[in-house]
Amino acid sequence: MTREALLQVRGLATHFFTGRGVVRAVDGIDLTVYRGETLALVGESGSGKSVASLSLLRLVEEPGRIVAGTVRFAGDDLLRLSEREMEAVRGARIAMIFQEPMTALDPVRRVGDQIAEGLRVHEGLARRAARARAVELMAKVGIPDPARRARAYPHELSGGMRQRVMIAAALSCDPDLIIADEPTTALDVTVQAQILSLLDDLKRESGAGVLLITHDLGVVAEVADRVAVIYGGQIVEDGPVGQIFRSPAHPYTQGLIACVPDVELPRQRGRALQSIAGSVPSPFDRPSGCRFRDRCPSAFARCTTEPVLAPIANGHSARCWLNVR
Amino acid sequence: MRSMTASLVGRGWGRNLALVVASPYLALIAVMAVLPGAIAPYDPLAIDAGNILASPTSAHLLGTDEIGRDILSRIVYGARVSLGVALAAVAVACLLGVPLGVATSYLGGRLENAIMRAVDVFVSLPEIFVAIVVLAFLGGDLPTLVFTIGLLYFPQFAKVAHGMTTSVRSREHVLAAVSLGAGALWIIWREILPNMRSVIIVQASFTLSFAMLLEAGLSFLGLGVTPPQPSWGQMVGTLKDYLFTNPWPVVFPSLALFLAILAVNILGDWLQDRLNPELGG
Repeated sequence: MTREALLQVRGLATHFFTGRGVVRAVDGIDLTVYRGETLALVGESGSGKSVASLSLLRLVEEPGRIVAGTVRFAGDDLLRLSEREMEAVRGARIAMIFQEPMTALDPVRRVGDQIAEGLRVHEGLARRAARARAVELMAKVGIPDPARRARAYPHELSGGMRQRVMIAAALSCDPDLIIADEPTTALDVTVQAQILSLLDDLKRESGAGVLLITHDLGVVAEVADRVAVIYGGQIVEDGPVGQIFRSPAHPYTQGLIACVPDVELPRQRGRALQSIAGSVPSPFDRPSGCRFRDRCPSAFARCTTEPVLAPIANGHSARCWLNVR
Repeated sequence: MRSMTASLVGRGWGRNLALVVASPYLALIAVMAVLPGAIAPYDPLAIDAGNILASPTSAHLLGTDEIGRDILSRIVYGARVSLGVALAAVAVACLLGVPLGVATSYLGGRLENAIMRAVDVFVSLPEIFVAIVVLAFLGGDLPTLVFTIGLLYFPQFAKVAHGMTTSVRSREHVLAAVSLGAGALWIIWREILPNMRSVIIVQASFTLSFAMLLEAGLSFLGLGVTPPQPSWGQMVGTLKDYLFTNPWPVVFPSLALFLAILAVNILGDWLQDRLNPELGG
């Protein structure tokens, strides 16, 4: 089976140059997104997943800077494009869906005009034509009565509707890649499922690739094809979703999976919710060697030297000495 | 629908009642400023030598001034100066201040700091004294008056625009627009200016009343409009000398000014509620 790589990230590093020192928020990550496929980038808060996604579109703001790596997308290295060329990529070929649809929508402009924004910037559509397209897009993402809703302001819509508006805006120019940064975190669980299945349908329909940033393994299980787990700015495990859930190779991934409460099993008396001890280390003060070692239940002597991301099985690799014989 | 009833009932009749009174009054002043001849009963310069410093009568509804000119007619003609100078000065202040504030926020760094501190110096200048000095040197024709008042009030607009730009720029919806491929000018035009619109309009309405007061004050001191062209401040300035002879004539131009400023402020408050979609309107 030949799959077409849509996005190939190699050695991407984004550092923040703060008064207290350099924060290596993203520290050399590799990611590949194939056409028509969803890659989930999974990590806790502070793991670097959002900075990584912003870096792909070069939206990181000072004091953050992309210091190394390549982002190959459709033959170009996005990190080498001029700002003007980059503007032509954003929205048109790579679109982004943000976590909090209330703050990611402009409170003083009608949602229809905001959906039409990309069309007007990239395709030079006139206001009227862009508005008509916006109404079509709103219908496509399942907003009832789109012609009337297009005239609403963000605060007049529910959270789920606002996220549909964000998705409609992201889809407006038929992008090849959609980056969704925690698209369902701010929503009710019932609405989450609707939004996820909407994203999945739209991906199937358009053949676009999706990079889904999330901390929620339930979301991952539902829509991802492949998973990359990020910890301390590095990818610690990477593989097809089935393998990651069946046989997670990195203790961090194992911990994350153990944390998910299983509603299908009858609750066992005395079995406490699992958690991973400690928290993500401060980026100023990461342990030497393996970055997970001070929280890892199976750490041993060798963990003081830094492991590499090594293949375990077909398409499955992990950054852990336990897997290296 | 719901929000409309809420704004009529929920927020009480008081404010709307004030508006119901204020807006016709402002409309009347606007008509006086545009078409004074249609309203004024007399020529504002015509002298009725038999009636000097008269109290209100049926011939002169608001009385006459120290050389027998009809006060009502002079108030009507004076509206053009009071409203016109203030509006033009606000336009000057806004057109200088807003672009400066937005551009400064985008400049960043030391230049941003230097410009905004210079603007702070302007804000702290005592406006009436600066205006007196400028007008004393340049003479008090109308364009000078407009630009002097405009220059005195542009720093407020620059500060508001700078603050709004800096805060709106860091909002996620601007990041979202950038992620859709929007460039800086598009962001300024579509995201930043619409988000500061209501703040600027409110600033403009308050500045309008300040500018009217400043113009009146300067004309009161004899530095504004040159006689015999009437303006409210100048009429008060002249008639105050006869306060003990007959207090009536000085009351009406003062009242016209006071009510105009009150009405402008009521309108400003209403606009603020009205233009902020998050408050519903």
